[in-house]
Amino acid sequence: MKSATSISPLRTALAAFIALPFLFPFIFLIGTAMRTGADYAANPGGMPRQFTFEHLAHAWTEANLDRALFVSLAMSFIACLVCLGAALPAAFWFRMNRGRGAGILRNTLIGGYAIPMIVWLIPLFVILSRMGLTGNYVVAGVLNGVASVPFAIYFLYTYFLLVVSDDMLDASALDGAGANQRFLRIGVPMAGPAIASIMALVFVWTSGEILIAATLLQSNPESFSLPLAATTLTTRQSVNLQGQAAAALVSLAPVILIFALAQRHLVAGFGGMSEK
Amino acid sequence: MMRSGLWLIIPAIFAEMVVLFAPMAYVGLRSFYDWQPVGTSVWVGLDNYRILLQDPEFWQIVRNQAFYLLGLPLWVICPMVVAYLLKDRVWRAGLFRAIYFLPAVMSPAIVGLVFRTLLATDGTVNAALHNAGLEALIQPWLTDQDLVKPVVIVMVLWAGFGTGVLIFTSAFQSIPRDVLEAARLDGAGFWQEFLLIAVPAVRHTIILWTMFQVVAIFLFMFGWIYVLTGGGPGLASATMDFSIYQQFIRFGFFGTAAAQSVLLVLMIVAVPLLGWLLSLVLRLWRTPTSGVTRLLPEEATR
Repeated sequence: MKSATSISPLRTALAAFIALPFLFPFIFLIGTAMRTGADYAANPGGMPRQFTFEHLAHAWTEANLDRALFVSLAMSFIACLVCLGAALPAAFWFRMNRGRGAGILRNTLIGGYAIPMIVWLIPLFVILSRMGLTGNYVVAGVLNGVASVPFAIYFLYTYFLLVVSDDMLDASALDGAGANQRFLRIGVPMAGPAIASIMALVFVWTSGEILIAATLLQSNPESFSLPLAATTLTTRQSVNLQGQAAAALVSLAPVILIFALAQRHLVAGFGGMSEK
Repeated sequence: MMRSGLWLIIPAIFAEMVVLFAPMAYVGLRSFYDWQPVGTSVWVGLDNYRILLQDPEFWQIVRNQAFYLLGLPLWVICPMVVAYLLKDRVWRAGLFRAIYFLPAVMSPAIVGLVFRTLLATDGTVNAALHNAGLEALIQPWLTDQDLVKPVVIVMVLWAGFGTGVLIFTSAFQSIPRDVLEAARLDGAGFWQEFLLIAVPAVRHTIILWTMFQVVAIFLFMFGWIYVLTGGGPGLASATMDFSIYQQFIRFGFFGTAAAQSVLLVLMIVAVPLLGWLLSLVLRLWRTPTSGVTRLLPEEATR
């Protein structure tokens, strides 16, 4: 019998074969975006022979992607702050209070996750338009942050259940620490890895979000996020397939960078969904 | 006790009330009006619902939504089998998991843009098929009424596959090694081991992942549809959230958009009920005399 630890060439080959559909779209995309127009026209489905940065540069300036990159980063940063500011203390409060009433409140707040974004966004759009607050990426950042609060409460609460014991809470209570002090002395220092995961997830979700962007930011091109700028560019008649590919490629670059930097935290965050 | 440190909980309650719950209640109320955001809204009772339910376009969208659910076996079984395949004896399994996981961190809008470019009638995929001499396979992938929904199902599989693999990997890790080794000593092959030990042991993860996918079909399809197909051709690929967005932002049918929002929430409420029924069926499936469940300690079967 084969040992459970010996490498199976068949299994490895199968895993590599399954990886192809995940790699090919990006290889095709790079090929389409970085070939010269003449090379692409001669053989759209073949191997690229002549390369150019022309389409990338054109997409970058046409869609004002440097501004969009700044907006996306600022919006994601605001969303992280809002989400963490609301969810972290709440999750710790739920860890301290595990009675029936607190349980109902916890499930209600986590249940907010199931409210479709379009359902709450429409009335907010109406109200924000009256207040002249559409086309404002700070508002969009705040809304993105609140949209992630239900998941963040669930995630951080589950984490606190694992790392903060009842004994720890009781001991600090005996020392005379109030709820707020316990949050600052126990909750914040112990939540480090979970905070990193939530920040990485909220950052990725917000920078890729399109519904809030398409609804609230459409009126002001200066507040276009990266996905909105890229998709708006591609609706123009003048932009061909190579231009579309270039816009997509340029927009993917920051996400791939974040993925490389925060892979471990993202994986931990997505893994946390399994308990959901 | 509950009163102590109330300020810790107030920001979350306030934020969710103002942004999520109150607007939802407001939409519910407005669904009974001829809602005019900048004018006077007139009470119309159930008229918006009546208009909606008599509208063939609404039923087309409900049918689309139901069609997308046909992808469920694919979205659940594929990552589960591959997670088990990667569990051991694969060189650099972590690298493969990371590659599969890449789409999960990407914006559906941008990935939609990538596939719109690749799958266009004059796009790279058809050109590559032409080069390979496979002209018979060339299709108008995104503009054919019958093809567009299966294409979206495959896209959703592609996007969620890595997350599924990750979640099933952590679930499979909870199966005690000695149980699997005992099965191997008894001569169990990959599929026997997978079907008779692994699948029953992770059935709660299967239910949760299934429910997550069902809810995602109602909650997170907008980015894909908005960019990839624009709901088309016609309404062939439109989802509820996309249709509500169109009715509200593009066409200005505010009252029916509100009524459709309420129906969408009701559909999502129905999902956990369905999940509960499913877990009831599975509980019946796991009879006390089942050899498999007796083999496993309680932690693994919980």
